[in-house]
This record gives sequence, structure tokens and C-alpha cells, in this order.
Amino acid sequence: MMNCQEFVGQLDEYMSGEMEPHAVDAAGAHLRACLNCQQRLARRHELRASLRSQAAPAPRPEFFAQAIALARQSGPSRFPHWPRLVGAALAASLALWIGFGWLPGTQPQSDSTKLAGIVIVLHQTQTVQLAFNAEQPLVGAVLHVRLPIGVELRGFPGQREVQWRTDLDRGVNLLSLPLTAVAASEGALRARLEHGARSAEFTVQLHVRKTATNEIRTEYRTLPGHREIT
Amino acid sequence: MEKNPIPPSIALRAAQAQFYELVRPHLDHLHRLAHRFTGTADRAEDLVQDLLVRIYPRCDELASIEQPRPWLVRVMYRMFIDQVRHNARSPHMPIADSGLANEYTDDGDPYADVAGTAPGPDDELEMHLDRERLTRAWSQLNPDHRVLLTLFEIEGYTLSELEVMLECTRGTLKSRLHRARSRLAELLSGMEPSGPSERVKDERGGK
Repeated sequence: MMNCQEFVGQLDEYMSGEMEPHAVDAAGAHLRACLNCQQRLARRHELRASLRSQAAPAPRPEFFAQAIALARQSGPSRFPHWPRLVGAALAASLALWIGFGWLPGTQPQSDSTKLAGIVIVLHQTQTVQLAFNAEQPLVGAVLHVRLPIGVELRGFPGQREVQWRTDLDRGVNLLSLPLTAVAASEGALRARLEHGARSAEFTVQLHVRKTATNEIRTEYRTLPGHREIT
Repeated sequence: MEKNPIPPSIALRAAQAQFYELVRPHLDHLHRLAHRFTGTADRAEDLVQDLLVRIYPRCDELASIEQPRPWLVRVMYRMFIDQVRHNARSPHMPIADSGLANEYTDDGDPYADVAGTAPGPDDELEMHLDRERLTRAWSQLNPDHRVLLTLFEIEGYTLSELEVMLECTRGTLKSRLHRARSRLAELLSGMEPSGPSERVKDERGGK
């Protein structure tokens, strides 16, 4: 049987669940017989609980955005180029990624890409993130989004078409669209990017379901570095 | 073409967005750690800000890491320790507790003699850990002790994880944890208890 010295010597392992199974058995046997070590263990649990009860305030709401912007200004990134066609619909995630490649050139050109369908849940706001991959900076590009019937962009109730002018940086530019399905339906979300004489458009089918489902399909490669989106 | 009044913030920019998506799942955790390390909101934000500035040029490395969180914590821990050391050398920036500089070294095992059956923090620590006293004692701990207790006792990192993260041996790590708990117990025992309404836990242990 483990004695007090051995138990105290392995108390950290015991607390963190890192004891070998046979040692756990021995520690348990010792604890059943030793009031002092029972009290030691209780004090350690109480210390842990008390420390964990100490609040750690959340940062200012704007802090992370400011911090990342400042980090970006501080120096160049060596982030590798992403593939032209990027995008994925990540199951079990509020953030659904879809996207398409964009290669501006001097000749007029139009690309069209049809993406796999995704499922959104009725009356729940779900963020669809569009990934636009620009191989060079685009100034004054126009984004045009057309929503299917029964789906609204949060903040724009009743509007099925939304468009605006924006600048894109070189690389992948993200656009978050918080969508809310207000009616059970199916239809296509169309996103069109125009710059000069070039344009690119993709279509993604939205399936509105009344309850949550695992039906979100993943048809495209997961974006690099996005393994931990939850 | 009519412009829609979508707020500019809805569109994130390229590299910024990539970086954001890499670190986003860990920001709350990092900020919480930073707050516990530093003890104040301002310094916590400064530490996280410094971390983001430091790792932004290392996006490729970050993207290639299977489990980025321990890596991020390790980088932030090192930065924090560097800052503490720097401040400790400054005559204008006193630190909360004494004996800090020697406690980061793994040269030998400075706490090799403290682990064992001798009365330790687990025996000395008073049971009535009320919130106010704990907060005051926490603020007076030296930064290394705050780091260790944060990572092990609060956040639940295992010894194995901390051996890698803090780059020290199991024995040294346990000794440092023991010393941190001892110091916390000393600080708590030297404080007057707060009123009963502020007790964090039960009342049974006021010895």
C-alpha cells in the first residue's frame, strides 16, 4: 500500500489524472485508510475550486479586432498563398465557408462556379462566410449578393438583394453574412464579384430545415489553418 | 451603382482575416491566461497585443501546427517572463514579490528539497479562502507563481503538458508548484479574513 510520503509525492499526478492505473488503485487504498491524506486532498480540491472561482474579466469588446489590426500593421506576413479555389462548408459550425477563385486580368472574362448546398436552420442566424481569393489587390470591386426567398441578411429585413463597393486585398478576403431563414424553403444564394470588365459569380443552394441536422455537406477542401473552428 | 449601407467592418481583409481565423479560437483563452498572469486588465491586453504582434509574421508556422493553443501559450508565457525580467531589472518597475529572477532557471533544482512529507502548502493553507483575501494574495504572488498556478490549478494543464510548455523537468515543475502553493498559503495566512459573507467556500477549516 502507498504510504503518506508516496501519496504526497504523487498528489500533483493524482490531481491531474496522470497516475498509472496501479498507482491510482494504491492511492485510493491509502486514501481510504488515511484521514490526513483525505484532508490534504480535500484542501487541494478546495484551493483549486477557489482559484477557479476568481473571475477573469473579458476584454473590451473591440480589443481583439484592434489588436489584430495593429498586429497586421506591425509587419509583413509570410502566410503561404492559398489555393485559388478555396472554401468549405464546415459541419457542426456556425461559420460556413464557401468561396471561389478570382484572378483579375486584362481581358474581359466571366467565371461561374456552383457550390454544393448547405443547410441552415429555420429562425436561427447562421453565418455564411464567403472567401474571395484575389491574386492582386482590387480597388473598387463590387459585391452583389442575392438571397433566396425566405432567407434574410441580418440587419436588412425583407431585402433579397444587397450590393456594395469594397476594396479587396491580395489573398483571401472574407465576408461574413449572418443569414436568418424566416421560412422553410430552398433556393440559391448568388454572390457576384465585379471588377472592371471581369466578374465572377458563384451559386450555393441553401436548404432551410426546421430543426438542426448534420446534413451540412462538405464538398470542398477545408481551409488551411481552420481546423479549430467551432 | 447604388451602394448598400453594409458597415465596412463586415468585410475583413485578406491577411488580417487569415490571421484572425487562425488565432480566433484561442483569443479568449489567451486573454484569460494573460489576465491571470499579469493581474490587471490593462497589462493583460498589452500582453495579448504583444503576442499577436510577435506571431503575426509567423502565420505559416502557426498554420502548420496541429495543436496551436499550447504553442501560443508557450510563446505568451516566454514573452511574459521576458517582460517580468526586464521590469525586474528596472529600478522604476518593482514587482510584487521577491526572489523572482532565480525561479525561472532550471539550473539545478531549486525546490528539490520541498516536495515530500514535510508540512507543505496543502497542510498550511487555510480552508476559508474568501474571495477578497484570495484576490489580494494572488496579486502579491510573484509572476512565476501566478503562471504555474494558473496553468496547473486553474486551467488544468497536465504536468506532461507543462513540462513541454515551460521547458522544465517534472521534478522542477512539481517543486515550483509546491513553492507557489506555499507562497500563496503564506500570503493568505498573513491576511485578516474578510467578512463571512465573502467566503468563497465552506466554513469548516478556519484553523
